[in-house]
Amino acid sequence: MSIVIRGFCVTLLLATCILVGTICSGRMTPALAITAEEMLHDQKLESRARELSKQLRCLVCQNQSIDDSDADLAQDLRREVRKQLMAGASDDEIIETLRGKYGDYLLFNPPLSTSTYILWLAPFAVFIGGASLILAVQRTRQVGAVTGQATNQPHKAIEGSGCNASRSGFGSKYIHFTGVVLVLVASLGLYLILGRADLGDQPLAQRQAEIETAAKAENQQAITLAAALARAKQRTLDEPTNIGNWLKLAQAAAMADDNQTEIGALKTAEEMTDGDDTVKSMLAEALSRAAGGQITVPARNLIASVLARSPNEPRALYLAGLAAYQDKDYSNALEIWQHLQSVSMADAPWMKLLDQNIADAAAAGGIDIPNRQSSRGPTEADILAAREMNNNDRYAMIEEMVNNLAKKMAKNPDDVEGWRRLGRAYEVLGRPEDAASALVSAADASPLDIDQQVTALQMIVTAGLDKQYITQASRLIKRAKMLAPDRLDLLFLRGHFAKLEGNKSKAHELWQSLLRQLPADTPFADNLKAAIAAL
Amino acid sequence: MIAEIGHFSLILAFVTSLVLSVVPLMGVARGNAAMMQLAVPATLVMAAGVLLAFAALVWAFITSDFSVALVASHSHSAKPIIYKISGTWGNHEGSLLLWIVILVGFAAILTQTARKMPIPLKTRTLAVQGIVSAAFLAFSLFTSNPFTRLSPAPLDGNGLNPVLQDPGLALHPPTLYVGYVGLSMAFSFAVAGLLEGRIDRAWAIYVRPWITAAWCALTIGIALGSWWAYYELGWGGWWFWDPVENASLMPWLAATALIHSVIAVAARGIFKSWTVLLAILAFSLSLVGTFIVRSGLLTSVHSFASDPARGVFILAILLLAIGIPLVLFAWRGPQLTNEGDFELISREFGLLVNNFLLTAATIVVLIGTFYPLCLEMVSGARITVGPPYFDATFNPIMGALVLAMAFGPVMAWRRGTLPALRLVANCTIIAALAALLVGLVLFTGISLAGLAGVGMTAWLGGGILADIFHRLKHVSKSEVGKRPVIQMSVWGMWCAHLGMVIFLLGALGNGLFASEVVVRAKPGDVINLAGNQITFVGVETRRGPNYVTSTAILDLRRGGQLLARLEPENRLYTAKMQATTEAAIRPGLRGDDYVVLGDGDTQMGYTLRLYHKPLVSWIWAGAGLMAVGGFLAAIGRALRPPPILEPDILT
Amino acid sequence: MTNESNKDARRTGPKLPFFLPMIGFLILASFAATALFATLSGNRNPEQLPSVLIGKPVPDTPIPLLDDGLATLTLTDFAGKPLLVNFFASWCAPCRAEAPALAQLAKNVTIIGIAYKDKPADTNDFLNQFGNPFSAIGVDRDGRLGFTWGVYGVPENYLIGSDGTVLLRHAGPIDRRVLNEVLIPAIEGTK
Repeated sequence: MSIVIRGFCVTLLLATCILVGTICSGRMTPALAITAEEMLHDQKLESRARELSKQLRCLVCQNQSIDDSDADLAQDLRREVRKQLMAGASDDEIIETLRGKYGDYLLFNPPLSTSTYILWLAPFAVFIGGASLILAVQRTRQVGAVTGQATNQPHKAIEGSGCNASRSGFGSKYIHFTGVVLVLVASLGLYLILGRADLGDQPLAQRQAEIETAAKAENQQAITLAAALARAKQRTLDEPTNIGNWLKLAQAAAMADDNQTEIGALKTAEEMTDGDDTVKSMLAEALSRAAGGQITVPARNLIASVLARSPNEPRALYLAGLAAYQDKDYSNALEIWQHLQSVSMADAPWMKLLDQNIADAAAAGGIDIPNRQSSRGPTEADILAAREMNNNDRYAMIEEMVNNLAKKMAKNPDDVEGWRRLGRAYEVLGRPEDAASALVSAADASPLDIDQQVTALQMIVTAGLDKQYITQASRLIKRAKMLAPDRLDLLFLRGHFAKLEGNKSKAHELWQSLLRQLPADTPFADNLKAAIAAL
Repeated sequence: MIAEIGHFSLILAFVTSLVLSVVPLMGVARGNAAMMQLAVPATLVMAAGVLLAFAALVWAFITSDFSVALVASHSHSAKPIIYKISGTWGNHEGSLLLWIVILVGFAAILTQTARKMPIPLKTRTLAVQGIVSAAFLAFSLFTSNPFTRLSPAPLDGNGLNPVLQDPGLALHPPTLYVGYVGLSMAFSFAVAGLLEGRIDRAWAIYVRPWITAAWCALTIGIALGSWWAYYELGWGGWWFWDPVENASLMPWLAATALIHSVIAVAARGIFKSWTVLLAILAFSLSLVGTFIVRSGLLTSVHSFASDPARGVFILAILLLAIGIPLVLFAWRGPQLTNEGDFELISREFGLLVNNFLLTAATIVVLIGTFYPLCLEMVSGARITVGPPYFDATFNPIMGALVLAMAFGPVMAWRRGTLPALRLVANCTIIAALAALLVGLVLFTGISLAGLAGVGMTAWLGGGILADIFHRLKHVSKSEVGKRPVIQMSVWGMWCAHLGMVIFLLGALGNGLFASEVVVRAKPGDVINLAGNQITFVGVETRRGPNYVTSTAILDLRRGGQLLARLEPENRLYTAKMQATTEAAIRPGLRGDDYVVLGDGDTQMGYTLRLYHKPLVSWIWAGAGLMAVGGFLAAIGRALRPPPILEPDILT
Repeated sequence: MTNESNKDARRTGPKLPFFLPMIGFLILASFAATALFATLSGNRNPEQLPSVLIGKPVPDTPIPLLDDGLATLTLTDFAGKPLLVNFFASWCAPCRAEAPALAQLAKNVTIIGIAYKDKPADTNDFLNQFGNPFSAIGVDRDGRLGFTWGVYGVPENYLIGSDGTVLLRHAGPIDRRVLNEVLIPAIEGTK
């Protein structure tokens, strides 16, 4: 699902861009129009061709003749004009032929017809009407015709002329003061609505550090992603029958924007699982991403077949909503996405995005979002509530939830969110081994999520399973170290496992470095000191 | 903080403009001096606020503050600093703010000049300017806010459009806006006069500098736009009858009419209601010109990304800003009385003809521009109204204007004298006949319309020279020691009218005698064009600051002597792989040589399009001369002692 | 110029000529408003041009088939049922956007695709990626066919009635509004 999220921002943008689509290269891209090859050898014919071309509008351009335009259509029309000239057609015949194909819009010189009578006659009407008017005006103004009444009349201002106006009851200071205060208050009020007083300036010169970090991170990420992709590819070669390897390859390829590899891997996985719904949904998503974000017809077919069998598959639902959104069928998009919302956990990672999408769809369609019912399936709040129930009820409820989840996870091993939820649930049920195992799976399914690695490690330690899980833990630590070597809780965990492995000096070094970064007088720091001393 | 200070200043300016729109007008109506006095400080606060906001926006562009959404979408860290600055108004929001800066700037200048102007007229003018400002500030703040912020801010901007990185586009909009918006002052004066119910000679004398300044800026702005199209678009045209070009031509025509009719109001107290109407229409056409292209109704090369939703706001503003004054005009116009009479042969009648022809020309352009839209609404049929239509309708009207222009200035007020007229008539006829003869003999195959154009241009030139000669002779005969009789404004008029002659020569020279060759050439080929030999040396790749080019090298020779090396190029801006074509132009007084490089390779040869365009630069020189004439006239009037304003001197 | 003469200062009531500018403005403004609201509601698209073919018989030029360059199809052979002819190309972005709409239309009407100025290999890739709603696919490599039809930019869709006359053209991609408000009603109308 994280891939969907990443792709989505791009998707909405692209979806709108695609729909707008540019048909024509307008005049803003200047280029050479007519080419030497198009020209006719016969000078007379060629000059006729040029004259004709200047009278014909390039239909897909902004007010440009086909002679000036480098659009494809203009070139076709130039060729057509010359072809007909070679065949001996007259200028009028050529214009008539082209007009017969494209209509009057083609002609810069609008032909006289019922719809252009006004256009052509108006200038004459204006000219004749105006000319007769000024002659009339002049006659009435002839010297001697004016009796002089008008000119001798004193100017009578229609309103009281305020030249020497008296002051009214208000003192001018009072007016000015109130005015200034009112203006300031109103401006401030409006500013508080429109402005962003919380945002300072961010001139580029002050952001060098940020830019460098971003560039470095991007670089680092590109390397990591490429390495991950190479490793995933190798694993599919080593162990081609493992579906998990193919799914991991697809995920790594998606992260590295390698659409074709992703699609290939997912197609293999789909064949191996005999059309698993999750895999099919992932494939639909991959196909759409390859098409620049548009949910293509083949992708739609996949989505439809998934939803026919499992109507609550979140990825398929999400994509179905997006397809409707791209079709501008906003009410349908809204319905699908709200359904997805209702079947998802409240803390599912896509919820925030989903809320945003729903808002977008509602805004685009001009639809009021009805008050959502809060029947969103089990949330962490439900789990908390369950703790307060009596034991039997609580176990019954959680047991059922967990069984459902576990079944789902068997089918859907790369659902990080599912593993995480399962881990939590086991924890509540007091089955720390299962919890740790689920969280390790979650961490494995999201190898680039540092929090997931740390959470799993912590569970291992809390559950007291460090000895059994030593191999898993070292795997997680290796990953986490790569992602965030300086993270404090990780330093502690690394020290802990170093100690377990018997590498006391390493543990000492790690914990010391942690201690240096901690405020001195916290209970944890004291505990840590004691632990170091115990080494 | 600077961006937020800018935003707050803009809001403050908006609120102040609301005060300015209401309180001073109430003050004038009630005769309350305190309320009237508010107009000046309110105008200044509003202007300061907008200016501060604009400065803040420019600063955000200079420092590439991508937390400002406008900067993020229209600027880029890799842009040269000059185009970062010009990028401020290279987009809808920023250019709207620049537009408002000029609008309030003019109002602020009015508060500091014209100190002897009657207070009620000044107050009303400022208030009307305040109403217009309020409408556009609201438009800016609520639909096109330039200070929308982004958080988190992107690390680089999106705006690296190579076509917009051009000195022509950096200068063209501000100049044009000064012209468009300068007409707002004429508009505000007109509405203020209508509100007051009085238009007199004083009104005309106060409004005249604004009209002249706006007209000059508009002339230069249009010329710059046409020059940009000439060198940048790459096919050597300079006017395309594009909707946006028409939209700038219409206010220019109306302003030209206005600049003439206001002379009659100032000198004779006649044509009052007509002048008021022209002032309203000129600014209305400016509004249409600036904003109709942003509404998505008429699309054009020059337009910003259009947004129909914004169009509704624009339409509402246009309805109020044009509709209400026109209602006021229908109501108050008949009360504006005229004070004079005139004969058929008189300066007044000349101005009347001038105004009639310019108005007719404006209406023709208006019809040609909007007819396709109206027809589409009525019948759904789509047609194109292109250059042939305007050639057939607009050009004859302008021809008549050129013929009349020779005579207007020589005629005296009220009743012209025949001897002066006769001299001018002889000169025009002789000049025109001579030109026709030369045209027929020298240029075989010249078209009838071309011949007519040559004759008319000579007619106008002869007329103006005869007028100059006549008046100078008259001056030398007059008594020495008195004030010089030929005022600076008359020199300005001659200058502007001669600018028209220069312009016509350029347009005719280019239109009638341009030559063009399209070839596929290999290195070493020699192309003959208009008596010059152009050697195609070859094509090389060059590297610019953020682009690579294929640059063709051509040597232009005449009779073996190397005159110039022409280097047209095709650029590829690497950041977003955008291509542009840069023509190579060798400008000259006698004509331009103009080369564009097309595609090709050394094996096949390259497509080259070469033009020789005789006198083409005279087009812009003529426009420049017209603008100089306008400035001379304005300066002349500013230097002259203030005129006596009693209305009774007229009879 | 109508507004000049006013000799009699005492007669200052409203006069018709002074209303003319306002009337002219209102007429122009009402056209602009109509156009603006038509654009806003999606009923007007300046890029849409009316076709000359409307009401005329469909051009019966033989069209080479995509699968087999030698065989041809003639649209008059389909007489008796409505047809949708879709000019498309793999290089055309809006054609991708309208693919889902075409897939939906394919349930209602026979669609003939014509690949306009496109390489057959590219066309096939396009159909694989975006779906193939067509009953038959013709090719127009050099745009000659497009010229016969008056095509000015892909995608263009022509609806042809059972009697073989062209009923309507939609230039530009089919979006939901065009699908539901224009094409589907028109197709229903032919049945």
